Amino acid sequence: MGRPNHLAALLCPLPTPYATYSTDDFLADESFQAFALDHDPAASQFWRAWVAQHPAKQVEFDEAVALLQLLASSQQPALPQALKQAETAKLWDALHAAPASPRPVLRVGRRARRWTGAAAATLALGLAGLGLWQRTTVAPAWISYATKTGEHRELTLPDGSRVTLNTNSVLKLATTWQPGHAREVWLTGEAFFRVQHTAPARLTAVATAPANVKFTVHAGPLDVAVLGTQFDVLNRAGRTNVVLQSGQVQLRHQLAGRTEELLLKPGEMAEFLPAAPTAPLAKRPVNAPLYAAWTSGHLDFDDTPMAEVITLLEDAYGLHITLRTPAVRQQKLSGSVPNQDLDVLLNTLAKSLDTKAHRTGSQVVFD
Amino acid sequence: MTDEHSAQLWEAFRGGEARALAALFEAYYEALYHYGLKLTGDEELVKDCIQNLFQKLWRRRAGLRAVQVVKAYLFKALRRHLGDETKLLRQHRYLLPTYSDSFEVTYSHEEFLIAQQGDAEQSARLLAALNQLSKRQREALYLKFFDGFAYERIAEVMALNTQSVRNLTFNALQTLRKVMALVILCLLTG
Repeated sequence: MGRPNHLAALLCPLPTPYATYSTDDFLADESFQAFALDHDPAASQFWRAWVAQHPAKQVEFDEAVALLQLLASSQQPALPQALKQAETAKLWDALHAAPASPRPVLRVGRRARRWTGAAAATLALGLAGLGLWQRTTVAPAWISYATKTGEHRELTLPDGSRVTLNTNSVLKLATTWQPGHAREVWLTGEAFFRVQHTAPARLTAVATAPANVKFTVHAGPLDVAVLGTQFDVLNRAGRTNVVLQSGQVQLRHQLAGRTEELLLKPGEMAEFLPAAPTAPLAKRPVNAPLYAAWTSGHLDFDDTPMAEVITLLEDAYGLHITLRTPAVRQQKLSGSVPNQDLDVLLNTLAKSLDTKAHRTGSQVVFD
Repeated sequence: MTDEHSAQLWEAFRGGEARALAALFEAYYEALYHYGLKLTGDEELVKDCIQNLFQKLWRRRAGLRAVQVVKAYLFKALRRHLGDETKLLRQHRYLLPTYSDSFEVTYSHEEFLIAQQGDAEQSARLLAALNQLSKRQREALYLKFFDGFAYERIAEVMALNTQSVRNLTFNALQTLRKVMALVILCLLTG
């Protein structure tokens, strides 16, 4: 029914231990802690509803909340950035030093030779001025995820967005993402994105949203910007496609001297063909779920016209398909076909159409 | 940094990506530093131990297993390193080697500026209450409320079983509640 279990328990009064909780029991309960410290919206929802239903426990309840909030109101003194940078640089040097010299930092007698914080910082600044402190900051740390032929990979990005990487693909991004900054990834190959909407809820138009709340996929010549949505990007030699499942996508295309922009709606595909790099981006309606089907390992048809399937195969695999029997185009398909191997897919399709498929390179003929 | 992201970085590091280890270092340095300082009060010792820990992780990466919660793993490893170091220090100074679990977790006045009212009286009472707890209780509370670890992770870090951690925390909070009872009354009615 979509209701969280806790709420269901409230409506059908089954005995829970909570009704006999003392203040100390509340204090030690992790779900209660999450509510008191505002760490989990589901927990907050549950406990607020619970106490409304159990007014007799209000006193213990409030007492526990007050103490937990008091405990959590403490602050750590902030760590000086210079210290963290110096230590990171030290580690970086050690990671790249010759393997034969693993010298642990001085152990015994350390207390005798203490640099005071001020002396060390002054020295660091002095060296920086001399240009000797080349690697004070670690070069922007990038991380690349790559898949081999026949491999899919599920990734979670630092903002919680999920990506399914298709075969022979590479996704590159900075290792740390600052909240409130633009999110960017670089894609070669194909991936399906489920992007988290991190902007304030009232911001729903990607075209007018400020840069720092957008999520951008750099796919060759196209930049695909979204707020929070589901879409497929394909960037392989020969073509770059974007198919939108839900939400909104803003495409930007750098042409000589100007930037072309295009907004996509769900069910639309935009296509860039390197053969015609200066042509304006074209968009057309497609059966969007079919274009994300590779993530599940099978294509599901529900009275789907063969014409749409042909378009999908041509778009996704770069095939050129000919039908010797034109009537096949009007046929409707239902059912599920495995799509992890192209030839298996083609043969299975052909069989359900009561015909045969022949493939040479990217040319496919259905009898 | 989410647990999932740090687990991915851990995998990349195990596979030989130095930058992934550097990214983990940057992400967790502050938390490790403060924790180490809490346990020992010795800044030089803590900095050296964190360096040695990460350099050792790099050298031994081939033998490491996959890790689900990297933060807990690092905390536990640091705690063990600090324990070894303090034992060595004590031995070197010809003192009786004490049980390495005798970290003195201390809370300081600066950490408890009550944001809402800056009431020095309240923070002093909380501090006094905390100092009535045992060392282990203080450490468990630190890991729960400063670092947000779940009981199972605290157990991993402190090398205890989860039920012991639950008991420690329950008793610690109960003691705090009793000592603070007057203070809380003021918060509710003030």
